[in-house]
Amino acid sequence: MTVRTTKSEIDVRSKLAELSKPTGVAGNALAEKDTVEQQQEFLGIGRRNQIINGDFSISQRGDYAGGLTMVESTYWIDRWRTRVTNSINGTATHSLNKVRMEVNANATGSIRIDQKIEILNSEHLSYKDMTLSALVRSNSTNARLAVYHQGWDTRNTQSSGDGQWERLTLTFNTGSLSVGNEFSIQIGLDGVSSANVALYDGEYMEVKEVQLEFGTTASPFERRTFGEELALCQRYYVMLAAGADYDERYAGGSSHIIGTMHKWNTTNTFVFTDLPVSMRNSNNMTLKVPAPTSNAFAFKSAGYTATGNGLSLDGDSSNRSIRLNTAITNSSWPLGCSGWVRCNQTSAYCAIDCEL
Amino acid sequence: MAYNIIQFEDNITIQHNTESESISFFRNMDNRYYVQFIVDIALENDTLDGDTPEWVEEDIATWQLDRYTKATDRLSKFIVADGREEVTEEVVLRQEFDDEVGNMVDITETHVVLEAIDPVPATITITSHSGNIEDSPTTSTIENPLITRDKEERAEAQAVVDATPSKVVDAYNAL
Repeated sequence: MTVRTTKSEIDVRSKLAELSKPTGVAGNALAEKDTVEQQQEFLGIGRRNQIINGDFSISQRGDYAGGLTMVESTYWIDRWRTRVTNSINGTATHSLNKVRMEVNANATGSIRIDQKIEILNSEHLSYKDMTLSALVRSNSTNARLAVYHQGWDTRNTQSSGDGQWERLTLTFNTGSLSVGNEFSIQIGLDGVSSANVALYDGEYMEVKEVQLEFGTTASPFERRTFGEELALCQRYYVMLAAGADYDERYAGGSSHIIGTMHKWNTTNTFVFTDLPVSMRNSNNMTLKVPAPTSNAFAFKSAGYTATGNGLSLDGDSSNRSIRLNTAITNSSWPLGCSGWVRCNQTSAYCAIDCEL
Repeated sequence: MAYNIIQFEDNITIQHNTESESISFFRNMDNRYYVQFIVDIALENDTLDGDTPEWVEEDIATWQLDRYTKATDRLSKFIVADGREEVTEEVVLRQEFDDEVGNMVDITETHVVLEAIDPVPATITITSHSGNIEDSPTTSTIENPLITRDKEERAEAQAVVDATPSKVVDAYNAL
């Protein structure tokens, strides 16, 4: 039996013309990727930067434009610490989207800034190729990018030291990482594996646009909006209320409210306030308020005001909502009396620290 | 200034006042401020208002044991100035019948457990520039910073081991 089949006609010329479409080198490289994930990595799209506040736009703790004497393991602009070995006399300065570290006296040691990366589970970060990049300017070849993951990685990238802006990149494998391990990126005037080096008065390093991403290629710096970056930072530190000495963008301003108060008994009055984002760990929160000699806060209820700053973080607090305790009271307040607490001085502040 | 413990019902808060700031936090060995509290009390850098509760003593012992374990581990690492010799072990792959002996014998293979590491150079030469273009650069020889760092870390670890109370060492040996 003969079976006759028909097939629609095709235009062979147009099909051949499609094959001769111009394709650039990048297009070929994209087509060679095996998975969508690899293509995304190649194109440098999506949420890539694992560093929070990589553009140094957020500084809830205060203004460091005038310079900060660098102290070992001290948090300053959000998510970043100053690091110092051998008590080097160094100054860290923060200006718009830039950090500068400077040596003030000849000595041997290191000064740097670092950021610890939160490890939520071992699968997310273990045995991954990652690339750290930053715009750097320095007059020293000891200015370098490095990483610490369960020990110092001997790989690092040095600046040319010619005083011009240059983008340094460092690709490494994270190795084994588990919850609780330290994984941090380190940027500063430092030796290989953080060995001490000779530092000279006037040596400096400036840093901008720090990015840590999966893969072996540094892509263009990912810019996030101010609101996004602030929310990411608030997982680790949040300024709940502050006086006029502080930036309005971070709850600063006169008479700003902290929360509502309720008198439980003659020695315990509780203050309640919600947090703007879920913080990292409710058991790991630390309340920070000014020294007890000041009258930083005003407690207002039933037409009477009491002042003081004896606030402490109290149990029942969650990572979304906190309870503060105080012995500050007013004899005219009946039990169960409700009111509010606000900043009473320009230098007052009330912050929760939940950093790594 | 001293630490004090605030208790309301079953909630415990530790409060610490400094000249510039007052901080308060919960009992949690993952909180760096709580760890600092334990360190300050253990090393008598600071005091605690009132008697020291049993749970603080327990956390001090836990911290001391952890510190002693880390120090002991650090001292067990090779000295970078000396390097490390290769360590091998014989691994039994299978058994075969040996006609000459008339018995089954092990067929083994030598595996490298730890690779040899050469000592790092004892010194390095550094070149310094004064910043004045008319001056010639000067060179000087210094101890290799990797050796200096190794010595410092070992000395620090040894100091921890020496200062650890015997009951903590006993607890470590019983692990």
